[in-house]
Amino acid sequence: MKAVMRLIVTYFSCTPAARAFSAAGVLLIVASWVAMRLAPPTFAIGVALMVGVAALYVGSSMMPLMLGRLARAQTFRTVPFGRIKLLVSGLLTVLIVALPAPGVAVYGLLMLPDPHGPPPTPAQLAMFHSGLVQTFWTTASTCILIAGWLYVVLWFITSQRSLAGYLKALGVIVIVLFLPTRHLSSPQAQVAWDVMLCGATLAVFSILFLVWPQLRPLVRRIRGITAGGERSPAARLGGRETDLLLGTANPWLLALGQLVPVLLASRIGFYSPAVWLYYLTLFSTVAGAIAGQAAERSRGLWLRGDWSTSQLFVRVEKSFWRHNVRVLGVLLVLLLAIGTYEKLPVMLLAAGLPLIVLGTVLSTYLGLMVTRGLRAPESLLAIAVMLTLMAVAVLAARPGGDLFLVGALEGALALLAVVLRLAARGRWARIDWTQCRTDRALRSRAPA
Amino acid sequence: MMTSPTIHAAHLGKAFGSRDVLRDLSFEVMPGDVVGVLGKNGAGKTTLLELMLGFTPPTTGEVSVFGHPSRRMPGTVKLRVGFVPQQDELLDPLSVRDQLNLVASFYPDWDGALVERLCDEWHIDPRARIRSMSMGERQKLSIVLAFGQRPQLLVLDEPVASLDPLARRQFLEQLVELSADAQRAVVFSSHIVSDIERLANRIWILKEGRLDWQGDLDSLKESIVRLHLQCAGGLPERLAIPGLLSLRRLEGGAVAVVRDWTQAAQHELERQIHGCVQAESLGLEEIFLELHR
Amino acid sequence: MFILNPQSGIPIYRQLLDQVRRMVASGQLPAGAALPSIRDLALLHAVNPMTISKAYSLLEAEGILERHRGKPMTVASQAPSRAALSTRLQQIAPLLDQAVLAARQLQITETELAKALHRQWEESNDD
Repeated sequence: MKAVMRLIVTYFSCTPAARAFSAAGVLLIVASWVAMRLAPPTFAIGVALMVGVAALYVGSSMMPLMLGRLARAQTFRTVPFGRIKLLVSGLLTVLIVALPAPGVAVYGLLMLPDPHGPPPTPAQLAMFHSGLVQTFWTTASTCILIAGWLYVVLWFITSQRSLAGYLKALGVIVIVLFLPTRHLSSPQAQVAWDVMLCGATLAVFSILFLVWPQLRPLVRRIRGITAGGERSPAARLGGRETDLLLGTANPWLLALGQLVPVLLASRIGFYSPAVWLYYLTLFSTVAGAIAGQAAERSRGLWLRGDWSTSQLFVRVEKSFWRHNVRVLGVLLVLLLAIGTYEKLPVMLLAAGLPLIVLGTVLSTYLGLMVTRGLRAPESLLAIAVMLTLMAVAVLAARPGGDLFLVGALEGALALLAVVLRLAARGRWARIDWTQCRTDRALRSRAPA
Repeated sequence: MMTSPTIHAAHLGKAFGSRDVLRDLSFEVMPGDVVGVLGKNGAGKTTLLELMLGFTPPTTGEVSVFGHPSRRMPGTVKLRVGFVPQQDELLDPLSVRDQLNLVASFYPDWDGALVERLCDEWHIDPRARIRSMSMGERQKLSIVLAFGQRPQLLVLDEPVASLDPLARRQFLEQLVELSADAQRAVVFSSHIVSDIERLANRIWILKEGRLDWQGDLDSLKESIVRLHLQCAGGLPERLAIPGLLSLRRLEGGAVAVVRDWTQAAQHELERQIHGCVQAESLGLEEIFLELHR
Repeated sequence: MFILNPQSGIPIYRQLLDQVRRMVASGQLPAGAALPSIRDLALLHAVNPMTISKAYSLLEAEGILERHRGKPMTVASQAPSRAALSTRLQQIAPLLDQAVLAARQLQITETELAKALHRQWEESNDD
């Protein structure tokens, strides 16, 4: 148990930044809980709670990466029950981050006195309490699933690079917090179903994690059989060298992987702007993360190919468009289908869908601009763009919203995309590969 | 007929922010040269190679490859340049065969037969996934990829750091084959001094950002010697030894390491100490150590 | 055929030079004997072919080796005694150096050394 505790503490405090975030998070959560005891819950307290949870998330954003590397590490295999301890530490971390929000919020509702009405009857009170308990379980299980999914996303991002992942994780997590708060205002009655779903997902994940070392050779053999011996020669790869080198060769991985959050979100209720924001950030973040590596990966491509750096930029850009078109295409069709099924207001769809496209485009060009490592100007620009996108989404979802304003803002963002493209192109013309170096040690290798 | 240099650099310098990594380097690499670059960790070997390949712009001076500035090499020139980086740039999800085909698609003069032979001799399984290969195997594959290009300029950055002695010897033999062609030039940096000693005809020693030595390996070995001084009456307090790198006094004499040693200097020294002086020539590793004392 | 030590302080080309000279002088490499090609020797010892080539060229200039277009280098048919005295003396200079040094260390005078040398010469004549 001590080892598990040690691991969890490490997840939350591995860097000075992580320590700061975790500490701030804990402080805010405790403060909001205390405030709930002393005063009636207000919106400000709710926001403080959410910001605290967000800070905790960011503080633990290295957890997926560390867990993955420890799981693969040779030395860890000698630790007794090493894998189980790792798994437990991961699950506990998810709980630590997922439960404060529903816990404190429900506690606040519990504390809510009704100063003007008559004291409630025991029956009313019992019903109120049971309603709250139901709400807690439902919210908690959804929060756990979302938290788990977010960590998976984080793993995807951070296994490529750590510094960028930190800042992008911030955007993803801050947005997603809207979901639990929305859920609190519209509790669903299918508690048992929620809890079972949560339990089942966690169980499947745990089992897979524990038996993975035994499964791996089997999977390899299956892959070997289905791969079918000799592959066809260069003709198959023709024209896709750029894609392979940049990591954009398999858009279907991401396109189909979107199904999970779609399923999750459609259960919660699609009418909230938070859901749009969720997709917006999630996919633009992923697109940006992949694009952010393009510069350093293109060094070999430049040396081998007959392109100047400006021509190389055009090729790289095209490769990303090829990738993003498929991912976005699937997403837009999905969202459109669900939107029609749920009978969402047409205006919301009309504003929300382009926003997601804009998010991906802007994020891609921002990523392509990262030719000198992720520094303050790029990070600030990224955060500013994210905040603007969020604001537009909120505006678009507001009933009776000003659609002309939304349209104008989206137009301005489209213009910004053009400007960013020019900036990225200019940077690539002068690219210096000694400055694109990221921490190569983060790339995991198979044991020798 | 004058052959034009493969690489030409004049007053090349590179600084990262306020930190000067390389200072005022001027050199030429001619076709047929095998240049071994030696230097301590952090001396700037990788930066020098990156400057030569156009990966980064020089802060001062210029460097050109086959007559073109390295930052603006046209495609025809880049085709003739091969590079084996210190950390491989292989694609994990691919199989060896796919990776070979991928790189081959860039080069019309790809030597498939050579690549097949090397994969066979070096025990690289074409069906293996790169993701599951060890560091040594990946490094071997990176080297094979460079050889398959049949480059006229081959630049290698610590190419054998992860290879066992057998693999290193196989790699050396292949480089010997390559350098037998007098039109090709090789520049490689390595910690493994013995490999450089076998293969290089020119040595560059990078020390504190400058080329401390830049010349033939043979001349280097003839220039830097260890002198064993024997003097029955004890050594005089003040000794004037030209080109002195280090001096260690012992019972009945001293050991000195000098550069630019000549017979005349030896006779002069013998006269000075009224004793005898024996010159011992040093291997490259000893020379490197003495230069960095 | 040759023993080359790349780690030695003596450059590889010089080691090869010395060995070929000695083998030719001692008769181990008779006139007309073919030497390994530059490429073969370089591959065998895993050394730069240019260093082999340098040694061969120098030997050719000294008249010890002969080059034939398209065929391996051979030992020149001219007897080594045709080479200039100074060149031949250069051959044994290192041996003389060693003898002189050893003599000094053992505190043998020049005259005594010369006498010993003369004795050796007489003895080898009798063989």
